[in-house]
Amino acid sequence: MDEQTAHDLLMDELYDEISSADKEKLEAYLADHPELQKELAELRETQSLLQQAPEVEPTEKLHIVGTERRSPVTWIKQAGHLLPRSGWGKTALATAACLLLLLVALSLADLTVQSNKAGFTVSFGEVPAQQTSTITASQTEAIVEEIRRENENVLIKYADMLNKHNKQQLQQVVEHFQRQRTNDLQLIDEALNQYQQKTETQITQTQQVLGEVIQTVAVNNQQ
Amino acid sequence: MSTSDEQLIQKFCGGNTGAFNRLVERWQTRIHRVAYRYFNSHDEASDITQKTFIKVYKKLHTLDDHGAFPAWIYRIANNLCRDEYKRAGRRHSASMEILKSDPVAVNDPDGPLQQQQLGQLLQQALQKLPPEQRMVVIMKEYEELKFREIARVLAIPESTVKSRMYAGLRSLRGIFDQQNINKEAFYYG
Repeated sequence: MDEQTAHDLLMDELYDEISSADKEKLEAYLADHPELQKELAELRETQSLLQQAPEVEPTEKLHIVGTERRSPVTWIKQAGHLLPRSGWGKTALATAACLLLLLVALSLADLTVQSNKAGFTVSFGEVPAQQTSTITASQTEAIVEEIRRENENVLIKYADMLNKHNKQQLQQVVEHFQRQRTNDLQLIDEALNQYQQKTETQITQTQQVLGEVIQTVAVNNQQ
Repeated sequence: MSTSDEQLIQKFCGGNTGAFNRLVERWQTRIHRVAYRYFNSHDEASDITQKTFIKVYKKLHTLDDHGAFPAWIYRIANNLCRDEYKRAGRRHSASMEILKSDPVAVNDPDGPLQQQQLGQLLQQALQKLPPEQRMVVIMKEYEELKFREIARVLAIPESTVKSRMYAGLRSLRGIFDQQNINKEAFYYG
């Protein structure tokens, strides 16, 4: 047995994959090669050390999302989850469904809604032909004249209103400035009075002090 | 009686997406575990797992032998791990350098290790193996595949799988000896 074969058989022996025939061969070989026996023991220990490693678990689970074939019953059940749960949501959905049904029904009945000077026309099926009327030239002139007069009156009224409004605003501004002026004059008058009183007081005090000084000087001179 | 992978694949090919979700539930942990052991990163593992299932989703209808699904999905995951390792080789090499210089701190070298420290020590040791040996060790030790199944996944001869396993175990033994890691250090109750 060569060295390579011996190593291969050592591996088979280590992991219990050796046949009985090869096991006999290996045992015979090991009997003659004690260093290989020692190596086998060391390899066993190494193997048992490796087995002490803690388990490894993925941190998160993978999940493939794909398009799964669904039966109609499953589809309806899954679609049911999309319906709103709250009372408001159900009401809104029911209203929307009713409106949709109404629109479909009206569409099927050829509903037509038209608006003109006379108002709205709602009809089912074919639209009735509109009645036409003729107006003479003199009537047209009269109508135009009437509209023109109405426009003039409206414009005049508007100009009057605008004028009145401007006058009122101007009057208010003038009054405001007059009040302001009166107030200012009163304030100035009060300030002048205060100043005059203060000045007079100061003059009186100064005169008293001067009198006392003159008296003192005169007494000193007499002595 | 639970539905087999083959039955789920059959249903999925018939248009039942729910069957694919069941397959994902069954296989996600295994694929994530392989990628995590390979990269020592949950982010990388999640990324590889996601890419694996996207590829499976797109290509499953091309799998003629539904019984070969386990080998097939492991092969996809292995290829994605290998591609990512090549693509971001520099980044992973840098991580390896950090690992060489900064092993997990063990407060009391003589005391028992906590399970989390133990997990990190083993992960760091795995990261020091060449990627082709690492994947064989992962598939044998943690996925418990037979040598012939690993050979099928990796599309290499069975003897090559055993050689890589032998070399990987010997390298790990050397790393454990170097870091004074032995059975006594792994007691935790």
